[in-house]
Amino acid sequence: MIAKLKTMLGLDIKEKEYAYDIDPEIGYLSEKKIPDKWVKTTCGYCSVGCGMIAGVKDNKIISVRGDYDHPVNQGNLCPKGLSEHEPLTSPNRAITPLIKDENGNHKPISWDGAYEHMTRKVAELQYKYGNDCFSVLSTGQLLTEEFYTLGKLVQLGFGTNNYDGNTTLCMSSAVVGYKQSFGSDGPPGSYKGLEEADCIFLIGANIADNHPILWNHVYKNKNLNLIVCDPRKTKTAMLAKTYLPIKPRSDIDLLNGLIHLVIRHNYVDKAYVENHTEGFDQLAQHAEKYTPSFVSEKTGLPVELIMETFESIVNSKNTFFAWTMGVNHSTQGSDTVSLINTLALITGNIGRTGAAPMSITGQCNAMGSREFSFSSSLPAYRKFENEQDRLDLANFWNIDPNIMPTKRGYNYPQIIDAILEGKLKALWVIATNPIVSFPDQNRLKEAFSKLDLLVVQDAFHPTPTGEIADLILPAATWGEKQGSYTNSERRVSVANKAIDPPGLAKSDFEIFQDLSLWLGKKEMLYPGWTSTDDAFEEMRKISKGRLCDYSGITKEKKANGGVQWPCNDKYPDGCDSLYSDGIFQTESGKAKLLFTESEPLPESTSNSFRLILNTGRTVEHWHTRTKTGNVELLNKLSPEAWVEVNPRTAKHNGIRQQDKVSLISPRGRIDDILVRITETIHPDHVFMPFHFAEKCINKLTFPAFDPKSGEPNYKQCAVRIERYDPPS
Amino acid sequence: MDSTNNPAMNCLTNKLTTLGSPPENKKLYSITKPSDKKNKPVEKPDIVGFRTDNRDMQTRFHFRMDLCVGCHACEVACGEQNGLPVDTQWRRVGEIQTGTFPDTKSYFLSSGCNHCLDAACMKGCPVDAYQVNHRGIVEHLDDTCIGCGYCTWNCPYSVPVLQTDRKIVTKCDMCTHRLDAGLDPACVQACPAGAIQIEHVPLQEIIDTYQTDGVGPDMPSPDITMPSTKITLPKDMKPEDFEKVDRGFVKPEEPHTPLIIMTILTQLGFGGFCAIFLVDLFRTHINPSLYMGDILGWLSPTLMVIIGGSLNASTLHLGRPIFAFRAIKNWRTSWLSREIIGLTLFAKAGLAYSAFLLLTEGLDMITLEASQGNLIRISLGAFTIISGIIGIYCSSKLYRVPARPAWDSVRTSVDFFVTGLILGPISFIFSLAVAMYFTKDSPAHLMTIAQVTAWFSAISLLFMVIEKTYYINKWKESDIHELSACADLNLKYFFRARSLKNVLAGLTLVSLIFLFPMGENIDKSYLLIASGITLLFALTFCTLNRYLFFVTVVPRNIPGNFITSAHDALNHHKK
Repeated sequence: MIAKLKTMLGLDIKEKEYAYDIDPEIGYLSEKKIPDKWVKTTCGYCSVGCGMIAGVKDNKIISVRGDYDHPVNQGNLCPKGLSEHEPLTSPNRAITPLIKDENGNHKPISWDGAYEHMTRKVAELQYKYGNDCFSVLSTGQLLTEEFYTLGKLVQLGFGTNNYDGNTTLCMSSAVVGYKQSFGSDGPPGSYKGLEEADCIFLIGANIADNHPILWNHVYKNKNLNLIVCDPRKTKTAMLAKTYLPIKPRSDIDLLNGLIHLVIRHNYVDKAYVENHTEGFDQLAQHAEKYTPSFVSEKTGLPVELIMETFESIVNSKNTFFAWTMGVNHSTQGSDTVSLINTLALITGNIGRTGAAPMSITGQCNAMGSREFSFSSSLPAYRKFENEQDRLDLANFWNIDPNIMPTKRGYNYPQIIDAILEGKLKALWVIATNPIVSFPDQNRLKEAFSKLDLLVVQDAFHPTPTGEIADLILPAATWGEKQGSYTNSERRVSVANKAIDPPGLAKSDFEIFQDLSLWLGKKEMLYPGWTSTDDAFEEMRKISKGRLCDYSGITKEKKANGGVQWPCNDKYPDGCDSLYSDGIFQTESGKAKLLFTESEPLPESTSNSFRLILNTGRTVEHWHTRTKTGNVELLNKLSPEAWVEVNPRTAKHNGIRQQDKVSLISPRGRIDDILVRITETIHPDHVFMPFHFAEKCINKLTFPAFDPKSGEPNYKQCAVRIERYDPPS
Repeated sequence: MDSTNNPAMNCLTNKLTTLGSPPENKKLYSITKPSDKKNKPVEKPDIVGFRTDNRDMQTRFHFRMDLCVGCHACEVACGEQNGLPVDTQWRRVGEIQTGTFPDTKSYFLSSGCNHCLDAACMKGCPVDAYQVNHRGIVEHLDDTCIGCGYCTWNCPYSVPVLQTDRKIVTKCDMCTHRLDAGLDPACVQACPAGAIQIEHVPLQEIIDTYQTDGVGPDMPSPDITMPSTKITLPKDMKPEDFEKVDRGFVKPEEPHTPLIIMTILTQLGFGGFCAIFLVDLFRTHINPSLYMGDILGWLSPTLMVIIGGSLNASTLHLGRPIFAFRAIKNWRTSWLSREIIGLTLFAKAGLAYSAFLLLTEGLDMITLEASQGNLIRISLGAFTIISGIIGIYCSSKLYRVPARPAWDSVRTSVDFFVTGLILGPISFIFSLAVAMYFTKDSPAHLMTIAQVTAWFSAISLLFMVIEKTYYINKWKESDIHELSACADLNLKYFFRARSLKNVLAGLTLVSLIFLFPMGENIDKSYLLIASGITLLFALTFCTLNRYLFFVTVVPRNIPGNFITSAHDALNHHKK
């Protein structure tokens, strides 16, 4: 009462709350942001993999700063990283296991109760329908040790291979593309290449919004020649020297055209092609028809722009090709990746700093899942189909080789299909949120309604997926658990535990260990393990001699700026570029010069749906906002979804700047969307960010998938736009 | 290598584990080599930034628009550094665009405080809560601030913010204490593109170049405040082609109810005193009798209560009302201080005049000769009117700030005086009616006064309505965004309030012209009711007029973030 009066009269201006003091690490700083200690760790948002220090006070992370010693970010962080501590204390944290009662309400249950329920129910269903009726959808957000632990638990413990990650929604096409061309996954380049390349060619990558800290490297490039190929004039495109506003999907034609020009004008690196690749003659034949005028017609680009791009590439000593979802989110993603690889190979742009075909990954540890998750391949880039690989692992693990899976199970979209068909009865979703992120939500929801058991393991609750789950397992998240992340450039960095998880939440590693106990397989799967260090030790051993060789990675190397694999006796400090010796992981040791032709879009526009919907991100938010939705300032900077429309299109559809609009596709509609009328978008396209559950873009998207990788074709579907008049 | 261009240099900051003076090579902000300019005496214009110091160097932000990628890290870093609540942003990132797809151009502007040499916040602050420090950084003194928010009106960049939980204004201080320790400000340190830099340059250099270096696309002119910030635009950029992306989304300003009440009532008081004084002055010509003294005797104290009350009420809009007394401190440069002094003077003079009228006439009005105390009374009356003119002028002048173009004109002063001229006569008529109601006679000549007064009021009102309509329509087509947006708010968003205002103007006019006919036999009750209604109409009209004055003004600002502005404006409109 007195305090209120004091505030009202102006006697109290909260001087103490807004006082400053000196922090030994940071210097002059708001007193309430000064922690008791700073803990080094790695960011848990995206794949850039920034080093950070987390300020801990009273078992809370109260502040986050960039780590100056980390080579990736050198002290910088993006707005998400800088506020990464805030979601940890959100009221939306999952703090206790929950089970759905008969009335459909979630009620707290003990951990033992939860484990008992899950293992019993799964066992019942597996007994009835076979082991394979249980499926698992994981993520790119866990620690590498956790992926390794989970893989063993699912494949060898639960005995099902219907196990995939949300990484299939993100970069599985890059994986397949690399495997096709080079015989193995593994992004060959590194960020340092962004500083040293003479030419950076970004294809479908908006790094200013999505990987802003990479700019830390781009910006140091002294003779920056940046080419950006994107149907939308993104923030990144604005900064480019050459911007290529191509028609959606015609990146394939552009690449074919560039290959044509390289061959026709004798810029092929003949020695390299001769010694390290195969398939050049077929490639040359294929590329013959892609003359600049033909390509110009296909891509909508003026011939001069195509020539300019070609000249930039061939006149550069080192060209850095990089791409993200513009390439991957396509039914032809895998082959597009291979085509980029081909262009890099014939111009000799591989194996050197600054010269690489580089997939910039999405999630903080998508790479860790690629290396060790045991979902799309056996751990450490081994192949399911290869008997020797299976035997090696079985021997190493001291298990019966016959229980090793001999092929990959269903991938993500196949899992959804199989649920719909009634083949799969139970699903365990870990740290992902399909009821926002998977295309064609109506179909997905129908599938989920058919499940006999849906278990959701997440750090946050409620999430749209958690809300419909039968069982919720509360998990620890970034800052609350110990392990490693691998970033886009193969850098393995430490993720330290700074605080304890809230309530009853446990680290995913602990949950997997506990479940193995309930299955009675702890000793078989994890002999003598007590912490993620034991998992890491095992990973080091099984990866020895593999491309992703962890054997030389020590705790110290991980903790001090991380180290790029392969890290072994030959490369004790890690390796900047893969394939510098020109030897690839194919049987012949040579890279394959693969090619492809563009196909029509899976869904073409029609009179009722004239526009192409493009989807993407904004810098303030992460995926489905289960984390960033809890950060006040980020919500202020990007409070709701919007749709970008060209002024001409807006005028044609009677839409003015202050209107709200509806977006309608053959599969659904979204109403009451804020419209941004802007010249950054082609009149035939509209763009909308995918982060917002309330305005879920995936009600509209088309369920078409890359047949090789399973990756959805998020980027193009047919829609129409209308002015939205709220019902009065 | 120039350390301003190297973000890696910024990184070293953190390695300094103590805050002692860092070694020279770790000084992170660039020290421009002292040029020969430094030794020359600086030609300092007579501006507020040089009031107290004699420095010849200035620390400034150098924003590289050509490098900024629009990642917003600086905004978050600033909030973390200063522990700010989300509604208080000392640094903001906005966007500007031009062109047609695919030749679209889009850039970002990250802006904290520009630490202007002729800082409008500082000039306007009534309590001297701003000071320029040894680096030329404009610092805000939290303890001194009374939360009047006047600096938030004065700054053309909308930099100072009223921090709601503290009820005072706060703003960016360029992390001056970090600079003193050789450390980068939080925003500078956070930028992954090296787009925010700190420079320490000779003051003369800024004085020489601010008119070109301080120019940004669709930003307020540097001529208003002489910003110290240097903006490096991208090569070949034509700033005049660009528009801020949030142009279409204007949120109405706060109505400031205590200020509506205060301004309307002080103007009514002024108008009332004008009427009293005129009648007082010419009383012998009117008819040396009667009610006049009575009327004057009780009307003036009533006005006093109204004026005094409204002045006190206005302190309610302060964040810290208990320190309201401080507000006269900066009378040298602040029109707010001057307003308070002027209006207080007016109130005191009015009090003396009323007291005199009451003492000399109110007690025994019939018998007293008008000549008694004539000189003193007339002098007091004249002094009241003059101080009233000064008070109302200062009051209007404080709104005439370049940061708010719709207010920044002599029209605001005219509006304030005309409001007095509308309300004063009507309240006088009302008093007349009240006085007549309680007496026996109803002399016709008094009605003549009433009618003349009514016409006076009617003409003032008509003038105001025509003038407002003319300007709103003129502004629709204005090149100045803040004016066209103001017209837009008036014509669209506040369509109903504005229509109501015009209807009330019509009603007031009709009642002024038709309710007071000449004649011998005036029904006293009729007169009382008629004048009461007229006063009510007029008061409501003026209040709505002032409400619109406050809510439809569009402040100058830096470019905003599209989605935040659109979200805020549309949600506000929905409400």
